[in-house]
Amino acid sequence: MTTLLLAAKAAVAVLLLASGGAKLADLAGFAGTVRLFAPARSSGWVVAAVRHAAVMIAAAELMVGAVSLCWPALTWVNLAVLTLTCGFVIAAGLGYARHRGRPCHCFGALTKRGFGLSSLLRAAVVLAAAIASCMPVRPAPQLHFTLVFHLLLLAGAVLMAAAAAAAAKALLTQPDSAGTVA
Amino acid sequence: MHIPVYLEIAQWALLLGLGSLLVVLYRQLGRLLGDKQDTADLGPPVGSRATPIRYTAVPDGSHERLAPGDGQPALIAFVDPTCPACEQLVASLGELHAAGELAGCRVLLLISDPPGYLGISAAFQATSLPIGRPVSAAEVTGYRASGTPLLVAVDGAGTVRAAGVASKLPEVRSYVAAVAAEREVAR
Repeated sequence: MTTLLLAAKAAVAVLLLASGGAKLADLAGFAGTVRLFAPARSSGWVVAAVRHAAVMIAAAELMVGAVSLCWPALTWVNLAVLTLTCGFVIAAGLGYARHRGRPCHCFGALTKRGFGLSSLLRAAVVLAAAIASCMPVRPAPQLHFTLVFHLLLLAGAVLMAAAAAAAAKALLTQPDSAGTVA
Repeated sequence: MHIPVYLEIAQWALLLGLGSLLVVLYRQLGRLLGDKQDTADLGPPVGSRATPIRYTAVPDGSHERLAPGDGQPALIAFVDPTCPACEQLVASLGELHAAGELAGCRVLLLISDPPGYLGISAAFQATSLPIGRPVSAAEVTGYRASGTPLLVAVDGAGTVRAAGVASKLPEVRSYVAAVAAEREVAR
């Protein structure tokens, strides 16, 4: 059971690192998704605010993912992960209800999938994993290790985010899937 | 040395994550080498005959028809407000239009997103170029517009002179140049 909880925690953290890095590499695309949830017609300041919001969300994913992976004993980070994943489910739900088929840029340019039932289900699975990772781990010392291990994990986290960003950049040249005219 | 269980699990999670990215990059490499290039099946073949398109003008809702081959060259852009590269294409076309480089050439922006989405894009809100939505998917089947942005340059005789992904100004200008000689005659 403990192994499963730890695996859920590590998997969600790696997922956050990948999605955060990929989103930062395709900010225009992700800002376009955030824009879907802003008022339909709005002035220039909304466009700027949307871009800032996109940067903040991607940065938050990176930061929370890195801290969750490298310092697993910190309890507050579990709540931060839970908050983020709740946000994903809400966004996926709203996207499914209002913007079905539009690109979600959930992993930047790494995926061209749009909002749909599958994205909602994926978000729900990630939320379930985040809830599981909030459960207390016994024995607690499992999550306490030396500074060297923390730093090694941090190096892994940086590598993961950088690799996701590089991969997303490489995929930016691909055309978006066109929607279907009803 | 004792290695905590979490560290082993985290290592595997990182390994799986990096492995997944490797697969994604390998697939992209295949596309770039032309093996399974996504853009290869995008757009009508150069030299083929462009088919007429019936569309609903946005925002007035009137029914219009673009008939390539009526003697006037045409630039048909398949774009969507939810696609960032499309915004760049619309901005590039707007820039060329403002500079008078599109004179004598019909330009049509065809969207598949519902018209309500136009409001989310500053480029689409600002453009003075005509926007339309095909009356049905069958209207544009011949254009093989499975991805956006897709720009198709058609000469006055209705022959496709260039088709493919374009968004930046120099790219769009090369499409305009493909029908430039025809444009001079039309003028």
